[in-house]
Amino acid sequence: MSAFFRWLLRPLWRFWIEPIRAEPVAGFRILAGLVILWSVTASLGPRMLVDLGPDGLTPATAEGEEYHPDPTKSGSVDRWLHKSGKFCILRGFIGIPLFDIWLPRAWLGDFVPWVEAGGYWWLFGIYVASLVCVVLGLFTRISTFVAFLLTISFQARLSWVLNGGDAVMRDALFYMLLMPAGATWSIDAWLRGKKTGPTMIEAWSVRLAMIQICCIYFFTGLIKLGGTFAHLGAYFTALWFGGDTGPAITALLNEDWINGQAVYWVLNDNALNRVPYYWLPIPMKVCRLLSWGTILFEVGFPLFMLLRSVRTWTLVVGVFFHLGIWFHTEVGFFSPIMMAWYPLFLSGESLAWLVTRRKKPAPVMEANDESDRPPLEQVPAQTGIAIGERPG
Amino acid sequence: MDTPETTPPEDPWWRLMRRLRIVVITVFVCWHLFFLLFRNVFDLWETELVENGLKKIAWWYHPIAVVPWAETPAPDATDEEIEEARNAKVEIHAHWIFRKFDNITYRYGHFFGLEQGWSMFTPPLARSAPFIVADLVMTDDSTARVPSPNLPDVEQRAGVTSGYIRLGGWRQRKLEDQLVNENPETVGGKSDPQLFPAYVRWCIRRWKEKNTDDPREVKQVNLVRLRIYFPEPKPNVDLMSFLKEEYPIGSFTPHGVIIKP
Repeated sequence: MSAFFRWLLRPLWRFWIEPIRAEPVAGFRILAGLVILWSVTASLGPRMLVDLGPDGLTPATAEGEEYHPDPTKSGSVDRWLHKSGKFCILRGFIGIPLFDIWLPRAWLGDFVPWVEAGGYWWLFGIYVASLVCVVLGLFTRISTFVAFLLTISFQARLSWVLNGGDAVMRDALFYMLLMPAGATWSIDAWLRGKKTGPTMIEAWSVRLAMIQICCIYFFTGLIKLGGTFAHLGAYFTALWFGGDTGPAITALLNEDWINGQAVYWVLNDNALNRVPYYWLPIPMKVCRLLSWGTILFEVGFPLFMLLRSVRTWTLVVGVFFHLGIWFHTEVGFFSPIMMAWYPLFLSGESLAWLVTRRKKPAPVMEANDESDRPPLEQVPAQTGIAIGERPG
Repeated sequence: MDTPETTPPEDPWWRLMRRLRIVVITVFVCWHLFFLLFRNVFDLWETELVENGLKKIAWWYHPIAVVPWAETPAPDATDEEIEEARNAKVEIHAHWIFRKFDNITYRYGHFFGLEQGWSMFTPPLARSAPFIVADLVMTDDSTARVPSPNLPDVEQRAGVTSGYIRLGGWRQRKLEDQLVNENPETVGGKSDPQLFPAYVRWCIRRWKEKNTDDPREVKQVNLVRLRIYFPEPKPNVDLMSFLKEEYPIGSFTPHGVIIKP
């Protein structure tokens, strides 16, 4: 019985507990940090010139409303923040447990008008500096925390001008906060001194981030199928009971992603597309293939990531998929930030080889070779949650 | 005789902390996985699963237990009401438990900026795109049109293939999406009433920046929704021909105050 449980739990144990190399996390930190930095300096910062300030496009209070330290008596932004449980440093630490009680109301009464009158540029400067530190891996844990706080705060203040890419950026910083992101390829690691052999880290935070990105793809794909399952149910019910299957088939073929017209409509959407469809009229047959391929890629992503044989190829397809979206539709930084998560699915050896072009080292931890592996607890912890160094 | 080397026993305090850490991480990982599953499923299919499914099951509202559940009394509550709130009881049933998890996962997701419910290009795909346009009415009753910066040049002019290359502008589009689907009856009732006045003043500023020598003064701004329909995927369809429709959104003074119809 215990052997059965060991057999059952062994893959789970390996997935969640087994130490992994730190390069994928470092790759994720650098790429996601660069994309967020790019988004903040090239998109959010310039928007602040238009949106914030005395006559900005997104005022926090309506005409006749005044800022009040009690969010329930303040403007619509503060009421929304309070109601939804979001926090925003720019609006006086609303929603941050204890802070909004401890900080003196009079102090907040001065702070928020100062921020709204232009003090947000000081916070923006700190935000950019923290992101530069994240990319470089300098004071990684603290700089990630500051970047996370300010990402949430700026996005909560400018919630009307966000898209899915901004949400993925918030997610990236949250998971980065859980990871020992500065374990390698960072100034922090360089300052700690050169060590022999690859740096090993605990896997659980990386696994959570991988599951998050799988959720994004899987549920985005599933919702695209819309009423498909209901139509299929109606079809089989009619078939079983000898009813008319015609209406179910008609309804099924009217689904955009099933009949393959979805990509055609996306390419024609002149609120989104970078160039008009008539400049690049992609034939309907290609549109159909792209539509069905999108569904297969998105719904199948979690499964493909589990299968080692197709994992890398799926990621290559994903890169082309996102480049295609990026080159044809103006959806901001959604595509680059999604691709920034991909290093998490690669092995540390492959990433190290990609970066240094040195000969691939012998596998440090083969899945079934536990004879020379120290248990995690014997790997000396260095900093933070668990940054271990595998003995050379 | 050599004695075998033994590792020194681990400090009990250190061992306790290590085990505590493992417990905390395990609990957190389990909670977060539950959060991801719960929020993704119910954010996308709450109506289908709860309203049309679970609520119709007989035991969904069947009480499992009645337990004391003290409520927070209102600030101006009388002694009797405070006592009543303290002694309040609640019927526990599946729907009550569901709502508790719904609330907790919602709060957790919003606080850490981890909102789920991922969707993109959900069906049915758009067959048309709305754009916001401001018609400025001047004091001499002449008009000037200030289109959204996102409105593309889709017109086919004689002998010239028109077109556009869009770089950026998506944040402006997201903002205008909040405004463009209103109509004169609903325009004043939105939860963010400050957006329309700010947008109207911005349109006037843009017009003045482009027409610095124009002496006319704006007396009214009419916001209009311009809807452009995409060509149907049919053989021999003219891809450069677009059906357009206009609908009023609302009328405003130059300061952005809504003029009721």
